[in-house]
Amino acid sequence: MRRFLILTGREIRDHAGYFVAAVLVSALAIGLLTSLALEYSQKAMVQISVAGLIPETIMLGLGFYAFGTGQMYADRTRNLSAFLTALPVGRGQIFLARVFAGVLGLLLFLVPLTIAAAVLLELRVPPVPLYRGLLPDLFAGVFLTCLACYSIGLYAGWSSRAVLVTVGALLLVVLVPLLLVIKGFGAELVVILLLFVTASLTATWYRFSSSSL
Amino acid sequence: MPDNVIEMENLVKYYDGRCILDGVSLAVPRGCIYGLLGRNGSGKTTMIRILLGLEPPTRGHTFVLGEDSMRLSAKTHGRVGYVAEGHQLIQRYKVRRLVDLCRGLSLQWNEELFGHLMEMFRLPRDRRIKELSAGMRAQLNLALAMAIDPELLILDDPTLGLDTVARRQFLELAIDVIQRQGRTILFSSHILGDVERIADRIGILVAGRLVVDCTLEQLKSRIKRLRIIFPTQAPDDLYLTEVVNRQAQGREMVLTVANWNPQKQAILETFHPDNCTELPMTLEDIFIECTRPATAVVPQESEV
Repeated sequence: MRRFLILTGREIRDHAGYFVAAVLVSALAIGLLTSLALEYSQKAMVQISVAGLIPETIMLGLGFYAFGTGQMYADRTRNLSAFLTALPVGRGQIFLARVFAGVLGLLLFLVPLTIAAAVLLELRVPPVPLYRGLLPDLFAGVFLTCLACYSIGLYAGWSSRAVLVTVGALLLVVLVPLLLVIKGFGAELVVILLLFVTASLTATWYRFSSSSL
Repeated sequence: MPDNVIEMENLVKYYDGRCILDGVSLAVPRGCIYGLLGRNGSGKTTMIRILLGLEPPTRGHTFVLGEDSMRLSAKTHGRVGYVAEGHQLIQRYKVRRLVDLCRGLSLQWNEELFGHLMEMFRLPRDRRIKELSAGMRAQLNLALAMAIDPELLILDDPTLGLDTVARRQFLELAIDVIQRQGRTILFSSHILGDVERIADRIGILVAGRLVVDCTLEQLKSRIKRLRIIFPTQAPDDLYLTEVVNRQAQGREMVLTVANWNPQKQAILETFHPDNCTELPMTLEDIFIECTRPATAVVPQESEV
């Protein structure tokens, strides 16, 4: 456990820029949401928020894709895992710590934003069950979409066929958030995204664990 | 506890269709300092990388401290110190941060020894790794590898790029600390003087094949270079087997033969040479003879 925490700490410190960006973007989003709540009517606020959700999720997806790619690319080009595995550390621990750091980055962005949204909903929107129930679905949908994009980034970052994989991965990163439009929020979307995340993380792990370091 | 710290069984590695290692079998007993020699590209680094599980073999198996290399547990990794070729440390880290990382991840850490080495090498802790000279990086790498009190120390061409003084200092320290504690060293190099000074067993890799695997004394006693003067023109063929090299000019012939024995001596005497003297051979001479193209394979210890 101690080693896992050290490895996670190393990931966070090495990619501190992404974590700072996650906090800043989250703060910016909270600011925007608050000004929307104060400036517009309740209905307009909900409409604008929902309308902006898809482009925002695509942008977030691109951001987390870049994070995943950055982690793996840095490892591949700087031989980080080769150095670390010469210490009492397995590839599995390195990979898990990396994904854990990615999830932490995601939560760092989403949790404050979700709390702020919940407070604003409580203050500004009438107590309609539809609105209240929307928030957990929104959180799960956006979280898993960003996680899916992050997983694609991990896969692309470890691949040596840079151009082909990057183009394909970027296409997926744009398409995955569109699932929100196609399927809508809810259990079905969560299941599809969970399967996608599992598949892409498994594929990345397979490549990472079987390749030369 | 296994008697052999390192074992390889018929190790084969292909890379992009090119054969890098061709059926290498090797056993390194506990407490041995094994010098692995070979020209550039002979497969030394690949062999070491496979041993450490950094590279999968195409065929065959390797075992380190009794565990399959591809499934080395973190605990076993913690008993192996590794100094990589080119000292691939994390370049953008400061020395202090790298040391903290290694200390945190290690199973055991000899702070006293590490502090002593850092002081002896005068390594600055507040500079980035990439700002250190090659010699300093080598010293830091060695200090990090030694601080974990390794049972097995693997040094992959550790003195490459070091000046003479730094090289000498590096080697003496490696020998001193490890030998005092009865550890095992696998030492790969193409600087023969270094290997000759410290190794008690030698392996020579030629184009992916281990053509020599025996003690230094056995190697020196097995390969003979003879200067033979014949009464007339030197014969075209002496009908000897395992001739490593032969150069003839007029009545004189310089002959390098593996596994010199009384039978070969008797065959030579049928040519009634006027004079036959043995020329001394250094490890460098033997290495050069062994790594010539189409070298006769020197049988390994078990065949003697």
